[in-house]
Amino acid sequence: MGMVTIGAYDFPPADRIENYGGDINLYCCWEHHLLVPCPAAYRLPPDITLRDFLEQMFKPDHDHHPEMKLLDYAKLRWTLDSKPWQPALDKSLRDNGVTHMSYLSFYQPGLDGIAGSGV
Amino acid sequence: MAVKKASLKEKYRLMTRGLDWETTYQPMDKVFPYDKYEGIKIKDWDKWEDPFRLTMDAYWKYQAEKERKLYAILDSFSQNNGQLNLSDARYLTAIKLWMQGITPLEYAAHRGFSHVGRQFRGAGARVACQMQALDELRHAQTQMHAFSHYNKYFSGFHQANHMRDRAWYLSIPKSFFEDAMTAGPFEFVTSISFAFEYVLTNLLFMPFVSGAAYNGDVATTTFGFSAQSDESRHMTLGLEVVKFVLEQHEDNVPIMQRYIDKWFWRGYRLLALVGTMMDYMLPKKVMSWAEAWGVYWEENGLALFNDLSRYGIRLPKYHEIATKEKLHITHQAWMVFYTACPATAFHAWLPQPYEMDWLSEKYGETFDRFYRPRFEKFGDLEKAGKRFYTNRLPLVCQTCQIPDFFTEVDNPMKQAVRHSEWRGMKFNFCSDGCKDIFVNEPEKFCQAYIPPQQIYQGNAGGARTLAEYAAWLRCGMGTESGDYYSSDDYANWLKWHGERDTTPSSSAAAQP
Amino acid sequence: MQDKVFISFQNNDEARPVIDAIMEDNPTAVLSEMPAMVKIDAPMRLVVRRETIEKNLGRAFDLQSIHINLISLSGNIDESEDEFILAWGRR
Repeated sequence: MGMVTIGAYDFPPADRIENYGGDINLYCCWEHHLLVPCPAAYRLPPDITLRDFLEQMFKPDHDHHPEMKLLDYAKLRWTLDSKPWQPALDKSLRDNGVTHMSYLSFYQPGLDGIAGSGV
Repeated sequence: MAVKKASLKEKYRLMTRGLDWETTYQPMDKVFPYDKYEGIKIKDWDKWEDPFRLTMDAYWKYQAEKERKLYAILDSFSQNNGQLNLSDARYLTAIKLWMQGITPLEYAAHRGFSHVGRQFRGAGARVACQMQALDELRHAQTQMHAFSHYNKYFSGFHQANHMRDRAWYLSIPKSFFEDAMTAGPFEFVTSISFAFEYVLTNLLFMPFVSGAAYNGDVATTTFGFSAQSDESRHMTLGLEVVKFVLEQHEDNVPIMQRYIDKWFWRGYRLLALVGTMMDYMLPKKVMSWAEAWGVYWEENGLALFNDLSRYGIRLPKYHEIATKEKLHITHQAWMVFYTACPATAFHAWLPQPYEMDWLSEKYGETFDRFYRPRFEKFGDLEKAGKRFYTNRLPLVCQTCQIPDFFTEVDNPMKQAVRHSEWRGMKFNFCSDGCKDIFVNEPEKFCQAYIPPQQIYQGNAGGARTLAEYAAWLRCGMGTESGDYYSSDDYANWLKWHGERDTTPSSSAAAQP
Repeated sequence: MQDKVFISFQNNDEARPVIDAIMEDNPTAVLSEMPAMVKIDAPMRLVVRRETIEKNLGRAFDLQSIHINLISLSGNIDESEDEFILAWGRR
């Protein structure tokens, strides 16, 4: 259903990819680890590999978490936009099919946060 | 001949009806161009009934009396250094949030009602909106006046306009009202007067303002209740608009239901954020958010909707989700404030032990199982000298603009997120409620000015990190921002109280 | 459970004769006190009567002046110079 308006109403999205100078906006969440209380947003070049993203950006944001040292890339279950997904860690975001405003999340069975509380 | 005195009803009719006319040299549709395009059909504007029969002379009389009372109390509060009698200076975080987030909404409401006060072709509705526009301006002014006293002694009160257009947490209330103000006049009045004021503001203004009294803030108590007495007129305007529109034509029912669904959810999301004021910012507690939700929504709100069911209106969509979330959202929101307070013009802190006990008592297993462990972990980090602050921008909901701290209602360990695609672009949301609103109006919400995205696009003075962004907000750690217990406000508070910490030490001290 | 209407006032000397009158005229009403305010709930209907307030006060009272100390309410309103009624149900 379209919007009801008093006249022509057509404006470009505020966050269109053209505004990111060749980069993309990406979100990432470590499931059951809510000490950082929201999924984080990143501005990234689309040719960074998923592994580099995790090592250089994601992990340092969570280095205060006691379970970080137990993280094992081989055991992660991934989703892309909340659908099951099997990425290749050493491929770029682009080659993994990650696009502007994509939402990644991963869960490692057995890691359920401090005292199993999802934190 | 003895003249019979007119009854209130007759007097009201004589003084408020027949003041309007059908235009002759311009068509009515050109004079009132905005009150038909929403598809709302009005057959007879004369069926409009004002719930309060308050004529203009009576309105001025009672408003003047309220003002005199209010300013007498504000004067005495400042002359007696009332700020020193607050329970604890932590309390002021709530008042800073009010000044920065709520007072600008009063002004926005003034603008919105001035606009729709011109747009309805029925004179009764126009007059009611114009009176409300005056009330809202009064609220903005009396609040700023009351807070100006605190501005002499505490940080965070001095640059509301600068903050309003820049701060991430203020884009939430700002975008809420801008959504309403850019809608048609019927949607505006349904959103603000009905969904927000009638259904939801009691949740904040009654228990929180009562809590302000309990924590020694006579100034806020007085303007808060003085404003709320105007609100009770506004609420009845909201209910009248809804009933009037529903009685006019059956085609109006689905349109009104869509407005009610949308604005219940938007209002709930906005208010839930300030539910933290009751659970975390009042050092002496009055009522929990969950209890307030039980009284003002589950009792009073459901009674209202039972009454509206005869018009074919059902309960707002996702109301049952809101009720399930009552045990979680204030804790989750406070976690965001606690971790992101380097970029806020208010302070946050870890709840004191007596407050943790109070939260356990009010929220039971929910708090002990899911939220206490977080606070304890943060406490350990504080003890180790590593007070945790987030350094990354969050995912923010495209509709409500709240950082997505929400979890799935049936699994509080699982991050909640929803997705939609429109014209080949991805959008993300905190909930089904917010996603539905976007899907109905993607042309509007695709333009949302979302703070993290704007920062990353270089529109926040070139800032890329939270620290650079805070500098652009003109928020300094220890002055406007950061943890309360390392702030100037706390240091000054100790100095003014002979180095005595006024933080209550037991939950007994915190009970009424 | 019958749906409740409510009215709430600042808890001060000016409002007290009004609060007392409401409790007198509405036997099923329940009064709750919170800091600085009272909330009165009643099943389906609640009436505020000028005559009862005047009896408590010992002088004439304009019913519209309840606005000065009114905080909030819920219910459909019917207002005359003698009575202020809050009720659910058809108007």
